[in-house]
Amino acid sequence: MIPPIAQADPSSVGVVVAGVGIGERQPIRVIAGPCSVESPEQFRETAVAVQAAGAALLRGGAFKPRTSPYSFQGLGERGLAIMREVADDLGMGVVTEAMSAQEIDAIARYAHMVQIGARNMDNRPLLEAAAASGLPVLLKRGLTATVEEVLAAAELIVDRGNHHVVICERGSRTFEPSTRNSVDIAAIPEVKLRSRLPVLIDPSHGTGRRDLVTPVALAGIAAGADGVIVEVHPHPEAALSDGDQSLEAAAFPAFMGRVRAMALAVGRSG
Amino acid sequence: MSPARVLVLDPAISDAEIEAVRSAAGSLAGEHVTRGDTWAVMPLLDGQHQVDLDALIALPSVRRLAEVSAPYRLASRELFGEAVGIDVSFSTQGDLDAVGATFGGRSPLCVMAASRWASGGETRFRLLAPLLRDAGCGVFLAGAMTSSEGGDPTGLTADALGRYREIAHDYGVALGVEVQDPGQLATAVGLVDLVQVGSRNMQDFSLLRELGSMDRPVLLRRGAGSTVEEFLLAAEYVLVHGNGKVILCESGIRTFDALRKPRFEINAIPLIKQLSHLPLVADPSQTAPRASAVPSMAKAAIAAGADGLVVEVGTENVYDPEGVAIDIEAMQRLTAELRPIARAVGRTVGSARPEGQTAPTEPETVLHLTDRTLAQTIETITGIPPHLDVADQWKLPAPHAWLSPPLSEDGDVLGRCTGYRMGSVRLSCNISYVDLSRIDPTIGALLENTQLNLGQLFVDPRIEKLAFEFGTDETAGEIDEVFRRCFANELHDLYPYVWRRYHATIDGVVTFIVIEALPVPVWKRLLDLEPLLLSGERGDG
Repeated sequence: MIPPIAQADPSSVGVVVAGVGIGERQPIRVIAGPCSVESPEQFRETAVAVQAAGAALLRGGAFKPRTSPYSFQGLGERGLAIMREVADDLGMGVVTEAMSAQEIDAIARYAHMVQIGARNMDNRPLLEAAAASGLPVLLKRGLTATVEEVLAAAELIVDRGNHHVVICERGSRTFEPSTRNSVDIAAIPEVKLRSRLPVLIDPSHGTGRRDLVTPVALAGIAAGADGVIVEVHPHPEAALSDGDQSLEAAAFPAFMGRVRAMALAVGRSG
Repeated sequence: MSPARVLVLDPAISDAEIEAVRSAAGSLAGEHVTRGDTWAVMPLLDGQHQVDLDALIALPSVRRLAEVSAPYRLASRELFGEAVGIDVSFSTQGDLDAVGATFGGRSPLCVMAASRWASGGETRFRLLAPLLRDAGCGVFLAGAMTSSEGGDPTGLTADALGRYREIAHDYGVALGVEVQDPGQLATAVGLVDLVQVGSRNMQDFSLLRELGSMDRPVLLRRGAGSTVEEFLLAAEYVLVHGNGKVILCESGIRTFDALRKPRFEINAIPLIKQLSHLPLVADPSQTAPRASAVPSMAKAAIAAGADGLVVEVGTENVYDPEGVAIDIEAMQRLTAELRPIARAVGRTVGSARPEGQTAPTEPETVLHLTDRTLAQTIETITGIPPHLDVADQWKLPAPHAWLSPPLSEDGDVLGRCTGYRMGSVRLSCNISYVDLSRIDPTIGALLENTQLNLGQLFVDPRIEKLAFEFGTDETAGEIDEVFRRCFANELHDLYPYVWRRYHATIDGVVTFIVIEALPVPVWKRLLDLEPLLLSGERGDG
C-alpha cells in the first residue's frame, strides 16, 4: 500500500497551465490538437479551429514515440517552435510530450505543460527531470500500469516538490481486436478517491477509433474526469500519425457541444 | 464472401404463411423463424440454389430481403438499420395489460436490480420491491437457480423463486433468474420473466440453443475472456434457434490487472451499439473496485450509450466481505443523477409509473406541446416573443421525388432554413418546405421575401398539424446536413439537439413539412429559467 499522495491544499485551483485551471472546481477542460505537428499550416489550422469551438489548451507532438522506427518521428525542436508561435498568436497554452530527460529543457522553453507518455511512465530519469523543471506534468498511465503504479509515479514527481501533476487514463491493451486499447473507466473514480490529482480521459488513444471517441469522452466526464485530451486533425485521412483516431476539425464543434452538455449534466460547466 | 441473406417477415405472420414462405424458399429456407416483440425474420441458407428470390420476396408476408455482412447475421444492426427494443413483461392474473420494463430501441433507460440474498430473502424483498420500483428498477434479478434443496447455499429453489415472483409481480416488477443447467430451463421459464446467462456460461452452446427455442427474454452476459465478436455470436446462437429477445450485458473483461476484478469495458458499449440492434445493458457492480465506484461507472455507461444497467442493490453483502452492493438510498440518488446524463445523450430514464402532466421541464417535452406553435411556446416560457432569422432559402423546382408525397408532384417547393433566437442565444433551428402550388400566391410571395413566417401563418385555425415524428441529432440524417450548411457559424451552439418533424395541412391537404430543432443545453437552462439567459446574455460555458 502506498501512502496517500501528498497534495497541496484541497481548496486549490487544481493544476494551472497557462492560466487555465484543471481540477475538480474548474470547468471541464478540453485539450485538443493534432497527434503530431506536421507543418506550421497544419498546426495553425487545427489550433484556430479548436480554439473557436472552445478548447482550453492545445496539444501537439514534436518528439513522437512511434511503434515502428520507420514511422514519422516528429519534427523535434522545430515542431516545438511552431507550436509555441501559434499558441502565442492565439493566446493559448500548449502541452507536448517529452520522451527523454534530455528533451525537457527544450520543452520547458516552448511548452506550458510537459506530457509523460504511457511508454515512459516508469522512466525514472524523465520523471525526475520533469519534476525538476517545475512545469505542470501530464502523466499518462502506463500501457500495463495498475492504478497503484500510476499513483506511485505521480508520487515521485510530487515528492520532488512539483505538485502540478495531472493524471491521464488512456486505456491499455486487451485481447479485444476491434479497438486499439480499452479505457479503464473505473480508474477515474479510483484515482479521484485516492488522490487529489486532477484526472483527464484520452478517448483518442483509449479507443483508437474516431467513431468511439465522443461516447468514451462523455463516459469519462460522467465518471468524474476533469477534462478530455483529444486528437484533432484538419484532414485525418492525410495525417502522418494516428489519423484513424483523430477527430476531423470540422466535427470538433459538435464534439464540444456534447462535452458541454455532459458537463452540465454532471453539474460542471463546460 | 457474399453477404448472408435474411427474409424480414410480417411480424403477424401465421403458421400457414410460414409454410408458404418455406416452400417458396425451398432448400434455402432456414430452420427457424426468429421473433422479437415487433419483428420476425427467417435466415436463408448460403449457397447457390435454384430458387426464385423475386417470387419469394413478392409473397405478402415477406417484407424485404436483408443482406448482412457481419458474421452474426440476426444480431447485426444491418438487419434493421436501427436499435430495436425488447419488453420484459408479464401479465398479472385477470389483468391483460402487461407490465414490466422495455430495454433498448428508443425506450427510456431501465435498470435491473440484482441481489445475492438467495432463499430466505423474500421478507427483505417484500420491503424493498416498491422502493426498487420507484427508484426506476423494472426488473429484479433474484440470483441463480439451484437444482436441489440445500445444495448450493447461494442458489434459489423453484419454491423460493415462486415466492419471489409473487412479490415482484405484486409491485409491478418483472423477475429474472440465472440458469446454468439446461435441465432447469423449463422450470425457470415457467416461473420467471427473464432468464439470465452468466458470463461463465456465455459459450455454453447447449444452454444457448435451448434458450433459443423458448419464448422468454434472455439476459446474456459477456464472458470475461470473450471478444465483442464472440459475444455477438453467442447471442446469435439464441437468435438463430428462434428467440429474438436477447438483451446483452457488458460485464467486464480480464486484463493484466489481476489484483482487481474484470475491467468494465466502456469502449465495448458504443461499439456493440454500433454493431447490433439488440439492447445493451451494463453491469458496473460486477466490475467495481468498491461500492463507492458503482455510481460513477453507472453514469459512464449511460453516457457511453448503454440502454440500461444491472446494479446490485442490498443493505448487506452476505457472501462477499468486499461486496459492492449499494443501498436503496444510493440507488435512488443514482437514478436522480442519471436523469440529466440520459438527457445529455438524448435519452430519458424510465419509471414504472408514468409521470404526471406538468409544465415542461425537458426540451423533448417542449416539442410534444403540439397544440401551439414553437414561437407561442417560447413566449409562454420566457414572456418574450422570439426573433426569427432566415438563414437561407431556396426554391426546389418540380419534380422533387423525395418530398412527394406528401407534397404535390408538380408544384414548386420553397425550402427555408430559419431559426428563433433571443438576444444572441440560439433557441431553435427550423427547416420548412412549402408547397407553393397549394397556397395563396400572395402568401407565397410574403413567405418568399421573408415578410411572413410560418409561426404567424400557423395560428390560422384551418391549419392542422399531423404526422409528428421526434428525434435527436443522432437520428437527424439529412436534417443535420441542412443545419450544418445553413448554420455553419454557430454549429457549436447547436449540439446536442432534439427535433420534431410534422406535416401541416390546409383544409386537409398537406402543404407544409416543418422540422424544428432545439439545442438541448440552452433549453435546459431556459427551462430552469436561468436569469443569465433571459436577459439575453451568454453564459461563460
